[in-house]
Amino acid sequence: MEIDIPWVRSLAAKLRQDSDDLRGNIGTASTASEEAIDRHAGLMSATALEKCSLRWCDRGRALLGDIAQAGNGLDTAANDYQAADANSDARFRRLQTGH
Amino acid sequence: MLASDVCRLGTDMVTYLQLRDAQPQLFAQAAAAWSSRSRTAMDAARTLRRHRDDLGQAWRSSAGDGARDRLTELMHQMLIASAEYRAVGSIVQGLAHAFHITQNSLRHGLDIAERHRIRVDDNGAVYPPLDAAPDDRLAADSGTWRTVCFLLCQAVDGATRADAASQNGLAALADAVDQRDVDRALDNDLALASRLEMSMIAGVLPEGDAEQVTAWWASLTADDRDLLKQAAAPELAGLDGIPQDVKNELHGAGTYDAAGAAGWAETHWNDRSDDIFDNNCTNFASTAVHDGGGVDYQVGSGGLLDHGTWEVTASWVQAPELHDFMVEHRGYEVSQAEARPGDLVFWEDEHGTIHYTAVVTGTIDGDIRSTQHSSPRLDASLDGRLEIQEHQDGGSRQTIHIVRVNPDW
Repeated sequence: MEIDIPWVRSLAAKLRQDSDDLRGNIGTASTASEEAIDRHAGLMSATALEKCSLRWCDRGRALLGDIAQAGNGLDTAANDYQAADANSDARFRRLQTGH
Repeated sequence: MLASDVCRLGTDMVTYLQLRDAQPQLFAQAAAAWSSRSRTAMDAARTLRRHRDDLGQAWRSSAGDGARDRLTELMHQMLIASAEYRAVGSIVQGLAHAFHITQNSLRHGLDIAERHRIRVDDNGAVYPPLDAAPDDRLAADSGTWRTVCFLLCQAVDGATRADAASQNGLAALADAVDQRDVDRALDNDLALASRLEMSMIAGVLPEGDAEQVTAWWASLTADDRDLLKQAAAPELAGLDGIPQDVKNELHGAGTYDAAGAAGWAETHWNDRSDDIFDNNCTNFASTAVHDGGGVDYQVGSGGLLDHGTWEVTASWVQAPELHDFMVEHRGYEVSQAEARPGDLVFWEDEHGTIHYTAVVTGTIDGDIRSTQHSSPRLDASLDGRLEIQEHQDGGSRQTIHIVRVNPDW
């Protein structure tokens, strides 16, 4: 067979796990940035850092969502292959047995 | 008029109180957090690459190729995120350094004011000594009064420049969330951040007469001075009032003016008029050594020849030959941690071939900033580019050589 289904399933799980693990880091605002922003309210740089931080958090979450979705896509592909394989087996058995 | 409105308050200016009460260490901690985030994204990109490569063994079909392409795309996006996080950290670190230096200078001015009973109000206005007779107030201690005014004024100005520069840089990086090209993330965004970090530190240098500049230099801590010597060597070397021993250190001993070469590189980084061939990294470095560093041509010994006659030597235009020539003529290699402005940096590929060179124009917190042709870059972060480039497809590990130029002629 052209695909190692158990391996692909395990990779799908790893991608979703990686996405979850990273959510607390690149998917959230950094406490240190927030503290610097709060402490320096009124500075133009603090305002710009706040906007930058928010936008990159959104981008980080979207990227992690894409990684998890890639994992889901691999699972779907593995399911499709498995279903197609099962159908092939059934058809082959019917040919063999005539039922 | 007995008061000096040192802050010259404007809507876009950092105020005296904002600088006095700022906590630059919080910016430094924020910068460290962004750098850490950059490393996390780099690790994630590395993991995605490994998964992508393994998938090639587990799923051999056109559908499998499509899945691998998707993982490649995600790996690239993660590399871009890593570069952008690092860029944000670089700008915030520059802001931290600039505020740290200017705040120290401002505090030094306030210490002098307190010792001489010179009053500074919350608007940053400076009043003459309290015990001076009304008519003599200004004359009584005008030198000290002027020094306090100058230190406070320059500190606020320097912080304002850094605040404005970081605002512009961070605004650009906020828009870079739409960046989808690794090379552009490196060449545009990370390069911009590295340049801004250097310029923010150089931007704390004061504008004043020699006496005022000497007072400003005296107000700095040893760490501040070391940082400025590494990040703003050409500017510092040309500033009247900086002690001669400091200037001598920046220029270097011998016939090579290290600060001059770094300054020349920073001035000519995007000037293609001196380029001989399309790929002119070594010609650029050689010209910096000659035109900026004041090193004579070494005519007739296989060394630096006047390319004006088109009798260029291999050491003038080829990176490995320039490296060897410099080392054979009393130059020597130093570690990356020892790099300083005016050194030459050489890149060696995984086959042991030196293939590129640039001029070190600064270092900040151990990260070398180099300036170069043929892809013109000003004050580019060496560490920032190296790691990301190594993890791109087709990228390879590079060995860095830093050469201290020390001509024996």
